[in-house]
Amino acid sequence: MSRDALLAADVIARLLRPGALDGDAEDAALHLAGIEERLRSSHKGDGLRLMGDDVPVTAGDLPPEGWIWLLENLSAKDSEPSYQILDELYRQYPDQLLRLRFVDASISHPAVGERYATAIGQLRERRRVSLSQLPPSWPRNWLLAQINPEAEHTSASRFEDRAGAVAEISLYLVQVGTEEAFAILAGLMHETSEITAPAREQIDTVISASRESGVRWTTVPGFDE
Amino acid sequence: MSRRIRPTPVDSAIRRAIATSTGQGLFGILGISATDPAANWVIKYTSPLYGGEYPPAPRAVGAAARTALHISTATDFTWGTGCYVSPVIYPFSGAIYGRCGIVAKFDPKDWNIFDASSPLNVDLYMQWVDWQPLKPLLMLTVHANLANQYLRNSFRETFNVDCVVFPPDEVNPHYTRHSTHRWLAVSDWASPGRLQKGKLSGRFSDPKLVVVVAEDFEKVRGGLGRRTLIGPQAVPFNPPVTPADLVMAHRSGQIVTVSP
Repeated sequence: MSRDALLAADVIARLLRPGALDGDAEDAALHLAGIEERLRSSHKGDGLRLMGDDVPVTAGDLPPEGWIWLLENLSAKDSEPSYQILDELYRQYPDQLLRLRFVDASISHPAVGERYATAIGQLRERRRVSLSQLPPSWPRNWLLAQINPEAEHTSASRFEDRAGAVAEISLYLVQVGTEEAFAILAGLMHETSEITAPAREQIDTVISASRESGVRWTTVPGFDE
Repeated sequence: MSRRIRPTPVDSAIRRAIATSTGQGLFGILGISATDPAANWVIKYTSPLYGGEYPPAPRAVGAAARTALHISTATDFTWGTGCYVSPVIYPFSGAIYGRCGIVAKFDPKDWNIFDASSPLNVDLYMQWVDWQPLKPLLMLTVHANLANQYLRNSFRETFNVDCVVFPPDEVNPHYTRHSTHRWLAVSDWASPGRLQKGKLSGRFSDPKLVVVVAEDFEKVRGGLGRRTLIGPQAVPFNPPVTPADLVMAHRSGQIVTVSP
């Protein structure tokens, strides 16, 4: 997606806000569909590109609602968003709901599901798959960067900050609750680094509360014992 | 792939509720026979700006977006992202949203249905929300619309709900009745367990402008109601227009004008 097109998408973002148009939400939604059609047709069916050096977009190009709309709307034809943009978005918006939706959208792209299919199969066979053995995804890479301070894109340097950040994103992943999210969490649970301890404790608490209420986690890869 | 699988203690009860509604079928829930001539038809109202020419001329701006009914991604829609329609048996229920009624055909056979017009089912949804790990965040955020949209989309994705049947939540005494009318939030799937969020709905076919209502509305009571600005002073409309009339008009390419 070109920068111009992305800036045009700012209009979309504004339309997503209730009351943005004089008319009704139905009108806004239809208007949105028209804009999307024009955006896509301007790219001759190649799909939107949000990854790569030739896509000079930044998190500031769209308001957060616009990013959520765009990221959740990506199809198999569109590229995955670059991890750099997701890093920026996550850093720029400390609001937890926005972060939850960024995390969810980051692993909802069909390409992530395809990459994770094998690992999810291995987890279902009760094989151990560490975080570093999992295929790339933005939350997996982000977690590895927090656990390993030498890695790139480490957003917080203090041990306590990084431990808190790992715990925070782990809760988003529990809330997202997809197979891919649980595969990442299963990998996190096998990390022995002290920095993951608060996160592991948190995940245990959520799962234990559910199990104590009689819920069986048999369908969740990596958590089914 | 990308299916939501986190279990909660109310999942079984929700699945039973969906199985019951699905067993009844949409027409059963709506209290109509599948042989009713209006059964397989829906209507969606919008303003003349978008609905005045539907489908539009092929080269019109944004024409492709009006070759089908669209999926609404606005954050303030009742049951999240989806295609919102009224069964045509409530021909004017959605007229509070615009003068132009677009009529389209559909087939709800094999749809998984969540009947949110049942208080028991709504209670199940609320119990499911209680079990969301981030419930405090989702309930207390300043971004209430974003949170509600997220929860309702997640619920529909978790339980593969093709259609939510719900009572209108914006009302008008002449057009839109909370107690007797039902609206539908219909899902399109991008992949198994993941809603399509945007673009056109593949659930409805042959959408055409069929009704023009000579009325305008004003939001009242903070958006909970819509006040008619012209009339009607009483139902039925004059002359009365039935759902079957609208289906006939769709087939014959006529536009029915309804005056208060």
